[in-house]
Amino acid sequence: MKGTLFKSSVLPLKTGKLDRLPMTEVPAPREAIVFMRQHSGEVCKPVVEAGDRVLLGQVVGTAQDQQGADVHSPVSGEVTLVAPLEDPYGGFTLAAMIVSDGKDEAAEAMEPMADFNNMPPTRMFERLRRAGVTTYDLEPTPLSAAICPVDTASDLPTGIAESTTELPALDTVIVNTVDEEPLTVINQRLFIDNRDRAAEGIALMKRLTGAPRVIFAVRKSHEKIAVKALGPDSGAEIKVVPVSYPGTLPIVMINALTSRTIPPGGTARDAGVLHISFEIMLDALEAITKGSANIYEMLTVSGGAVNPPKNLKVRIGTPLRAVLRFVGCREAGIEKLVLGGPMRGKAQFSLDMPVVKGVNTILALTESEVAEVKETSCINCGDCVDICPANLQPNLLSRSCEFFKYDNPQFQKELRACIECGLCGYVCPSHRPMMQYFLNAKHHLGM
Amino acid sequence: MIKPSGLTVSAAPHVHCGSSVQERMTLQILALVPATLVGIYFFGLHAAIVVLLSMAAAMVSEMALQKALKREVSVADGSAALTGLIFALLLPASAPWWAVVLGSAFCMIMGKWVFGGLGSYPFNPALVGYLMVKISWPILLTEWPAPAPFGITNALPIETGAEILKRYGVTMAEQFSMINALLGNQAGGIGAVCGIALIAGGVFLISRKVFSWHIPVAFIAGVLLVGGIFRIMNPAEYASPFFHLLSGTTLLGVFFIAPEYTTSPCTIWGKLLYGFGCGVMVMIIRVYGTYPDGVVFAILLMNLLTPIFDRIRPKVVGIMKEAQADG
Repeated sequence: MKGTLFKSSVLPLKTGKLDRLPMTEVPAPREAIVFMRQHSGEVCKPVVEAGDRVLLGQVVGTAQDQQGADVHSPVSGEVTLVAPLEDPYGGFTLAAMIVSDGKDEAAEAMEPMADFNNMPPTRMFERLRRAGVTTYDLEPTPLSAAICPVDTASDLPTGIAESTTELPALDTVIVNTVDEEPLTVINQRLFIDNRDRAAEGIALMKRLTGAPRVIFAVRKSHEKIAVKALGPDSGAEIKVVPVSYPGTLPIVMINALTSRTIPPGGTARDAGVLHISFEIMLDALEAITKGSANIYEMLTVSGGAVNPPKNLKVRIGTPLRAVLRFVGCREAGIEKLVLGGPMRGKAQFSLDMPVVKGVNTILALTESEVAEVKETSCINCGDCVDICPANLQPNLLSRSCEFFKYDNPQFQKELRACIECGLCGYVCPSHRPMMQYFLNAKHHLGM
Repeated sequence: MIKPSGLTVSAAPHVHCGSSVQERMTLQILALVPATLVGIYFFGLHAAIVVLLSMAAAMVSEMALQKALKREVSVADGSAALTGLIFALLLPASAPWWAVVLGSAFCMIMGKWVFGGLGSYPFNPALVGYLMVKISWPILLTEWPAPAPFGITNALPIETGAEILKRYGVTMAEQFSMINALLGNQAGGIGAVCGIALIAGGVFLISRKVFSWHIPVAFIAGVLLVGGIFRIMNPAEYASPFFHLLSGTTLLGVFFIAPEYTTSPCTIWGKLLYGFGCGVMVMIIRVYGTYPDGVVFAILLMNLLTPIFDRIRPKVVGIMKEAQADG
């Protein structure tokens, strides 16, 4: 971990023996909601109408630009509604509601590209978008666009691994088998279950990106397994990374592994790096070699209202209520329901909210677990300054935000450098809503 | 359809480490309990009355101010009690009740609430009240009761080690017993006399991560370094640096007053410079100034520099050098 600018170990990720729990598949939901925008680009154009019959894995919305990825039906059944609905991020998005007929009749899969080493990457990019494979790079992005950024004016890919005026060449791929946030073990679990596919996945990533360097990030206890699974000629470097937050955040991990710094507000691609989780690599592998659409999301369901926590394989579009019922969680005991981890997840107002792409955790917190926030004054204890991985002074920034003083250019620069890890709010003894202040200010300033 | 389910919604993070202002303040009060008990042992019942009166006056005046300013009453967070306690520990046990009450209320009004309450004041409120008493009734703070078990003694008021040094020179100060100072058997403020209790309390606070080690360690380093230089230059004229550490209110300042959150810097280099500056100022005031103790003035002066020390900080990750310069 030499040359790291970030403090990379603050919170140990306490997961107990959760990573030894196998994945359980949640049965198909009776009713699924599929949002037409689970990526950074334009909203998908729905290709179904209310009353249409759809099959499992059939396309229900097609991407309108290179920043978009198709969305698919997670069940076979009838479309009952195509209309804007409240989405998990606090806005309204066009969505299709599909009532399952319980038959799970599958649509025809796309043609497999088993021999991907002789396939032009551009065709594989098209396939990844058609299969709906998205990763997370600052915001949900199609994997193809994360590898090969799109020129927004012409909506054309800018060419793979080529250095453009703005971007450095993509020369490093980090495949991460460690989960970003505390309480989640999905990628660790998937790696253990699917280690025999790791070498193939790495070969695919090399073919897709043309990057000479692939780093396979594992936790210490998985190092030997990874050496054995990848074999000698995989061409990937196996690196041990700490299982502690915020060291597991991509922006911090990239800095630790490559000594490169992502500019404030930038993506990993701006530093010439592609960071993908093991889960996304598997999704890409499925889409290319089997031609299957991305309709599953792996989730750890955790929190005080869920006892014991479970690792689940859930269809995208399954309402959270169905997932929670499956794990035997009492609905009345939930005070706060979070899509995502405890540090960066989004709180949901409804149990009807469906699972969307890119979510690895469902957190059902009881009343006693929910962090209380108060509009109190900062006592300047300095805990947030000590813990901030970006070397900011959250105490001073939050005071500016508190009184809506957004004009200072230095303030704006520092605010942009905030990586939104949530640690300042986690440690604040005054229980100030730090992230709320920063997110609100960023929103006002259009960051 | 997506219908509300009566859930709590807020921005991340959704969990908290569990610390609170109340916990921090309670721990600081707890850490001061040994020093206070030793003070009560050596100065008797009157010391206990001063402490309780001061804490009560601070809490009542804060409550009255918050009511008057139509603010949420937050006396339960313990910050007023802590300020009242520190103010009392700086006073001699012989302090009259009206001075205690007036000073303690002054801490809250002019030290804390004119600036907007907890987190907003530039100077340590306890020191503001202490300074008011010192300037208004200087005689009160120069007569220190002689220490005796349970305060039962007929001895006349005596002088603190720092005062002896200032008035009679280093030969008299050499008779000052370090062991007695460590045990608390010396003249001085109620809570400032017992070196062992203060060090134990300070170590407790650092081990519980209430304060980081930077300010106390840098403070001690400043006293020892500058005191040591003077001592080496001329042992016949200047007292040992350990004398300066154990006499007067130095240790109370090191562990409990200087690291106070609101008035001390946050960054590591800021803390080190601030602490070191406090130590250096204590020595300069004691050697060249008219005040024998100097700890209160040293800390108040360094409080003034806190916003400047806060600017000494590591580079923000991601912001390039030139970008930082033109901002």
